[in-house]
Amino acid sequence: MTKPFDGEVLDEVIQKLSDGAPKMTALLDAIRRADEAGELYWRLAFRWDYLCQATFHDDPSKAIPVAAEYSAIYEENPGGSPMTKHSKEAYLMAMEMGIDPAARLPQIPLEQYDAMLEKYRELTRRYGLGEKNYQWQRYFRWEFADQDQALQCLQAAWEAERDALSDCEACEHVRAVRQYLRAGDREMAERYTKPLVSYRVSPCESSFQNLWQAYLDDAMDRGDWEAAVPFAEKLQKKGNRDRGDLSYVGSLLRCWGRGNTDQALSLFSRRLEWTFDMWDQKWLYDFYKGAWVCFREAEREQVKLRLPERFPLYREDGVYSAPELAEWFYRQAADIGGRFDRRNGADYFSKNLAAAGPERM
Amino acid sequence: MPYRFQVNLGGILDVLSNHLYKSPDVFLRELLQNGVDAVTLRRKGQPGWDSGRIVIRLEPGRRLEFQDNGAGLSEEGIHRFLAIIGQSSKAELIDGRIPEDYIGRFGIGLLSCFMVSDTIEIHTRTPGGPAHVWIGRADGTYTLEPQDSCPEGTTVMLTARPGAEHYFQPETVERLVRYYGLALPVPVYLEGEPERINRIPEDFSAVNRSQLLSFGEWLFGEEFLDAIPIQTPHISGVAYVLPCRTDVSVKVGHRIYLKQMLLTERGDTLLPEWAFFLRCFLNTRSLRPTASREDFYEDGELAAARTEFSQAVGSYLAELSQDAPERLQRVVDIHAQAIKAMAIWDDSLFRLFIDYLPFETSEGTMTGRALKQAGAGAWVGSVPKFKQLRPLFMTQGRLLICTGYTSDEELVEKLADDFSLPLEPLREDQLELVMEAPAPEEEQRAFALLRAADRGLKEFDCRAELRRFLPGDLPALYAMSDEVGFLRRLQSAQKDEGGLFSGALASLLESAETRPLATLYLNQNSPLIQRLIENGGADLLQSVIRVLYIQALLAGGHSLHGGERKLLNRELLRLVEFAGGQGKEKISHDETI
Repeated sequence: MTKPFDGEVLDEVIQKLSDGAPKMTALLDAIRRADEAGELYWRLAFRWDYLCQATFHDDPSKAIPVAAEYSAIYEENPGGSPMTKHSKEAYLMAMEMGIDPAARLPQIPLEQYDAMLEKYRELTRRYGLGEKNYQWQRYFRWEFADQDQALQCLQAAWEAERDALSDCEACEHVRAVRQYLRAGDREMAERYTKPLVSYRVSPCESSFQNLWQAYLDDAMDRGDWEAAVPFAEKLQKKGNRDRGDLSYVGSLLRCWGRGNTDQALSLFSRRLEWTFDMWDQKWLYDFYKGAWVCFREAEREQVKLRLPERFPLYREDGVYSAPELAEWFYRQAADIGGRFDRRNGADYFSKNLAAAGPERM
Repeated sequence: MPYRFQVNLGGILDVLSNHLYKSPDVFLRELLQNGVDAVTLRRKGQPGWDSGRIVIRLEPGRRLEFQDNGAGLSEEGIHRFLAIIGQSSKAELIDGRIPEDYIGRFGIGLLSCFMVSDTIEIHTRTPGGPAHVWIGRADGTYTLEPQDSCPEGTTVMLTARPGAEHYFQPETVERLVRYYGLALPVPVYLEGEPERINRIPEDFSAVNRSQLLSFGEWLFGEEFLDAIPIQTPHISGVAYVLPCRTDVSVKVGHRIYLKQMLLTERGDTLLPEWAFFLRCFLNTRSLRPTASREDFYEDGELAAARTEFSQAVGSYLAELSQDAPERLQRVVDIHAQAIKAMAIWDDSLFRLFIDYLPFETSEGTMTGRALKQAGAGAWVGSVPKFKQLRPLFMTQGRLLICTGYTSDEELVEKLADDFSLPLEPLREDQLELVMEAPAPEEEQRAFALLRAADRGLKEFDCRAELRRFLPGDLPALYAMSDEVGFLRRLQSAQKDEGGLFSGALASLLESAETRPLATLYLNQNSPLIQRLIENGGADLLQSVIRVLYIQALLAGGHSLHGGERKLLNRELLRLVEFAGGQGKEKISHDETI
């Protein structure tokens, strides 16, 4: 006899699984069971957990279809579940997790992206919540498209009042740091860094990692190797456990590729697998860019690597030509960067790729 | 022309009490800190003097006198340090930093007394110097008068504000002194009590295990499984092994001191993530506190302390594996999850523990040691998939390891790499590993079945393949890569949703350059499949295949699309009709639905 659906027991089992793919596979199964049982609370709750897993521990793009499902269920049942966890706040956050990846998917045209943002804004008005986060969404929309617009949106986001929906304050600081570093305004970047490193705002588990990456990228773009290495070391120590950490592996590859070939190659071999079936194009771009630097700067012509068979240039003997790999990864990065720039009507990625060129690092 | 800021003391107090400090009880921490620093300063100026002590007098619920016999303050010192907010009296800075043996650093601590008292009265005298009385009020004014005499050192007198009376009760004061100042090097007495409040072992590395455990029980009120002495350049103390399994999210309950003054109960900053199975009593020296003195500043010293801690725990456990392996096994049995997380982080710990750690496999729970001897095997990082595939592997005597639980995948991967074991990850598209390809003539015989299956499944982005696998009563197995899974979800969401995401879903589907196909493996060992091969021309072949497809999807834990649900209904009805002998003429196996 089939066991009756028990969301709590299922949830307890799922919580013991590793973040990322294992939890997500189990959650998809749990979603199916909750749907079959028609349990509104768990239909939303498991989808919510899946969205968080996709966003923070795997490929954020995987959140899109599940956010769409969440939206359909919620709209059919206005007010969501009687339990508070799945209220309007959760609904709006779920929508955000579905919209976030659009900034990093050049296959979604800007008109569609703008339409999503407009619908999201309607939701924030409907519920009287989330103005600050809407402004942050606008910032993401412009982040790689127009630096002046991005800065204006960032300032608007800072000026908007915090509410129950607002993001982690420390991560908001990191966004400001990254944007001001891009704009070359180190003083402003420092101003947003200070509250973080003195713990005046409480960090979440990703805040420092994102901060170090912002400074690492900045140092490398400026060609300042000495400043870059300590940040790379901190990031390396933080470890990389799930596909969500692909967000900074590219930066590490780029840094180690310059002076620590063995470490770079080891990281590359271990994490290449994460790029397979990865939809997030920004992370892929960063990884390919890092791999390009890594093989371009490799001290030897040939490298011995144990790579997965799915890698398009896979070789049975494991002996690869470094220049050939460098060329291949450069082409992948340039291709993705080109698609971003075409979609955004900008030249951010072409300049960004050039900044990692041989004359810099 | 430069102007000076005007400071609103009331506002500052609001900042202190409502934003900087978690609770008014920190006033006692600040008094202890000042008292110990005053004793330290006098000790420096008077080598050989070692009579420092702090005495607390109470009129319960009304008044508290906190007396140290330290360096005291001169008149100039009073003006400089008691009247200027932010000025620390901790003697001279060395390289811009307060020397290690002083606790305080911000010069704002005394103000915390205003959270419990409207006035702060201080009687102070340097050794051999004149006595003074300073009275500060919460409105920002103060008076300073000479005094005929007072004991050497400083006495702070507080009068309970309405609502703060309980901070002036002996049991509260004793509890707070123990809490904040248990490890202080200066004895603290409650007047009239012969026993000092803050007595702890002098050197933890010299204390035996049972004494450490007793100390832990006294301090935390818990009987621990083991006690790990910690003695490193940055930290000293004890890490206690919790007697029962705990969750990774439980990070509070430590006692972490900075220069013997309690800084925090939370271990997130100093302790590694995996240390959640430990409850620590630690004193640190050269780490920098944050402004609120409730955490450490993230810098190189902190990173070094964290590393030292990990190494100390690792060394202890390594010794345990030699001297008392049964105790180690008990620790592992209870805290396998934490130890697994720790073993990923540290190579030496990995080698130490891997033999003891348990893993779920198709052959039951196996330790790392057993896996080393098990020969070839595969691992799968999903518990539902493991459960689906376990019978296949079991019946074929092949080893499948479940790495869906936290840390397991990294450990098994590392185990395979470090010991050159023939263990490989299993991807769904590599299921051929446990399946035998049919001979060409067998495949030829099944041609009609496979053709009908491919046609029937095409609209579901699925193809059919013939394989032999065990168990024989399983007719079909559905396998898809993550990519296929994601595309299925996109399709399904696009069909059901007409709102915010419809455009994005369509764009994502369009952008998928090639449409990867899932596979329905038909089991040649299954009597049902054998019958279908033999009756290749039967009218209902496609219907049967489609029902098998749905059944395999459900058995694999996949959700059905709306279209698949309709299909199931339709094909079942068709089969029922056929069984009832009513629709025979209408159905041909090439018919599409």
